[in-house]
Amino acid sequence: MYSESQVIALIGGLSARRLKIWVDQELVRATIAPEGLLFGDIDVARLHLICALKDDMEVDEDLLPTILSLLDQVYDLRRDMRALMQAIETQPEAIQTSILSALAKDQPGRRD
Amino acid sequence: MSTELYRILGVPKSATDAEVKKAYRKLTKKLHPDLNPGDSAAEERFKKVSAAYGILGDAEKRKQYDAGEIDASGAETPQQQYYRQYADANGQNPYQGHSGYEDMSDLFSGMFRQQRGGFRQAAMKGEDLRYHMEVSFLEAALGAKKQVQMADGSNLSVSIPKGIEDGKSIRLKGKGNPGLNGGPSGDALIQIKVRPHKVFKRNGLDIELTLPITIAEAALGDKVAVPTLHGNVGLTIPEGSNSGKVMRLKGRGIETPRGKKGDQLVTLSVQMPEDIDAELSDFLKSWAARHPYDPRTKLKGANDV
Repeated sequence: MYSESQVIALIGGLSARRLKIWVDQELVRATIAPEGLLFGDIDVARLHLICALKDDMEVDEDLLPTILSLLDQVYDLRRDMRALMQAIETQPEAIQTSILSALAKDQPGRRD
Repeated sequence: MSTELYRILGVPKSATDAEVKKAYRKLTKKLHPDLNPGDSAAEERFKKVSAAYGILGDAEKRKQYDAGEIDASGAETPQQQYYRQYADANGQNPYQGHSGYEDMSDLFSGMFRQQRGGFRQAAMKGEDLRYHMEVSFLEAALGAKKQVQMADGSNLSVSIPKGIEDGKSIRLKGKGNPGLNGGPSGDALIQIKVRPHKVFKRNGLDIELTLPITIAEAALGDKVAVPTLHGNVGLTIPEGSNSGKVMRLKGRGIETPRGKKGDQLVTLSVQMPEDIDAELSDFLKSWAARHPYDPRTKLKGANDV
């Protein structure tokens, strides 16, 4: 885990002010410990992404929550999709084949 | 002379710095790996684009590149940990949502919601549970021990760290839902709501308080007891103090667990006695006649154009 000052030192585009705003908006979820806010590896990577959105892509501050929420949904869907695919892959071949042919029938456009 | 980096950014060699920057922003929006979790080709292109901008986006390095003094090989950017490496990994993370599939399939909505770990054999951390707790101003300022009733009906003792701010959360490790397939339990997150106080106001680590004083205390000065978070403190009011004067009691504000200390700011407010009796009014009439003074000299010319 990283402290507030460690995170600010680690990420080029991050200031104490930005960090406070983004934590307050819950764009990044810090852990509150008696010694202050703590950030894990995933939080640091997410702060890198938020800085890239803001600085490299010049995304409007107001749009950050929307974009992050959509991204979170994409990652949720990918997670569930992966679980579903893994479950199908462990099935006997006959079941896999019938699932795949049902998919091909329902979505002819996806056979690419 | 190489023009490869210009080709990567899709700008001519004659492009201005602003045009280079614009091209980079456009490509970043399209290719950033966190925005394209399933596309490894985009990641490869993004690495090249960042490396190219590392040189062409820096006036000095661009000059050297144009002069053939450095080439694209020196442009490797340090390996960054992309968000998708965590968000797209197996296992739970704190940004996971609870999107259901109720609108699509009863079979799957139940499965994904109730037994997210059921499909996978991997151990998964239990879900975090969120609670709200209201505490008094003084409990938040000074720290306290509180009982919370958990979802399963059991009671849990929570220590509120001194100086906690309204809206902040306390994380209790392992007090959330139990993990799946032997994974660790989730955490309980307790969001704190701080009730306002009738005399103290918080401003960062400072405490603000308005102290009513008598006209005699204001005019002659005196030592007055002032309530602080840490009990009463004697405050010396200097002779001739006005309403609105702010006095600072060093170190009497909020103290954080890390040992930072705020001050208490005391704003004086001169209060007339409830009854202006004959003795006071006779005295003031004769005194005012003999000692005229104008407290409003600074207001003169307020309406001058």
